[in-house]
Amino acid sequence: MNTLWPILGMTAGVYAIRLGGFLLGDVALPPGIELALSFVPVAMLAALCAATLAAGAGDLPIRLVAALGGGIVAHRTGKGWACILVGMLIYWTLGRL
Amino acid sequence: MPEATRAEAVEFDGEMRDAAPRMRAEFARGFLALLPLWVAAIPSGIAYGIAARGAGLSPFETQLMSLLVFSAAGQVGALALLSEGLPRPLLIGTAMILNAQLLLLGLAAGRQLRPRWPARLLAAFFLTDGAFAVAAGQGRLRLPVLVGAGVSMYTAWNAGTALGLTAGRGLLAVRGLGLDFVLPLVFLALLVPLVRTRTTLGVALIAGLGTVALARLIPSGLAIMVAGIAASLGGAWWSTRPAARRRDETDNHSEARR
Repeated sequence: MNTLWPILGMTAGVYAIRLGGFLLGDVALPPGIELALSFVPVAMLAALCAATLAAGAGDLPIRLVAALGGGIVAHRTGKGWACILVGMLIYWTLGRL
Repeated sequence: MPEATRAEAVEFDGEMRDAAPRMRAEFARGFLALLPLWVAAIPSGIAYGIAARGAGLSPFETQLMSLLVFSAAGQVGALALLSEGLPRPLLIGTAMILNAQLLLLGLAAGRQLRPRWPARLLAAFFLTDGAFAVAAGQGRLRLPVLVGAGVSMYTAWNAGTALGLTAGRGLLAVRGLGLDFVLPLVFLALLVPLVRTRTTLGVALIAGLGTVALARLIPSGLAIMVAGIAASLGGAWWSTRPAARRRDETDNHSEARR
């Protein structure tokens, strides 16, 4: 199976997607769109969090509880590593019950 | 050389001298900030490496794909399609759709950073969800932080692929540990400090719930992009209403007092 060309084609395609947004960096946009772009980090982090949270097969309830615990810790302490640590501990503990 | 130009050139040289160590420090900060994601990226690189060998790719092709395409979703999607013998243009289109959200991330990063051309070409190659998330979570987006985080992810993904190629199936046991759950936790840890007002909370909820709902109908990368755009536009529309703006200011003040 010759897969070299498909690999090079995918490389070009995915790079075009990555570069496409950067290319629009200089284009003048209406103020409404500029304002919308300021919400992109929050929106994308929430979307990525939800997508990866829902990606687990059968253990969604455990994942939700663990994420809730991690989220509360992140809110209270403001420390990212504490959120990850507590979330994983809850996830492993509940997964073993 | 005219006096003014020479003065500018000297000033520019000085800036560049100061800029180099600062850029190195920011690059390192980005590289290190992404390390928690290695916990998830290396095992998925291993899984990809093993799956690619199973799908009939040579070790060279398997590693080359990680070195050039550098996209977990795109590469794993490609394996599924390659083994079904689908036409190649379809394969390329699918890899692009699976990474649709990178278009929006590149747009947000490009608008904020306005990098020069060589930097733009480089930053685009290393742009991933995780790198953007880590760089955005560090406050104002900085290009060296973004590229450092991207190179960090590139290292983990390629090391994982190489491990999967050489060590083989025994390593798949790592997947039983559920380390992929680190991913949503990292995104959550970066998201929580950014949610300061009712409007940003609304944007986060619409984006999150919208992604889950849409992912049942369309590929996940596309779902993330569509929900992300809808939530951002919704946030912009909502925040221009006078009542919402007053409330957000109150939220910001009470947050500042805490």
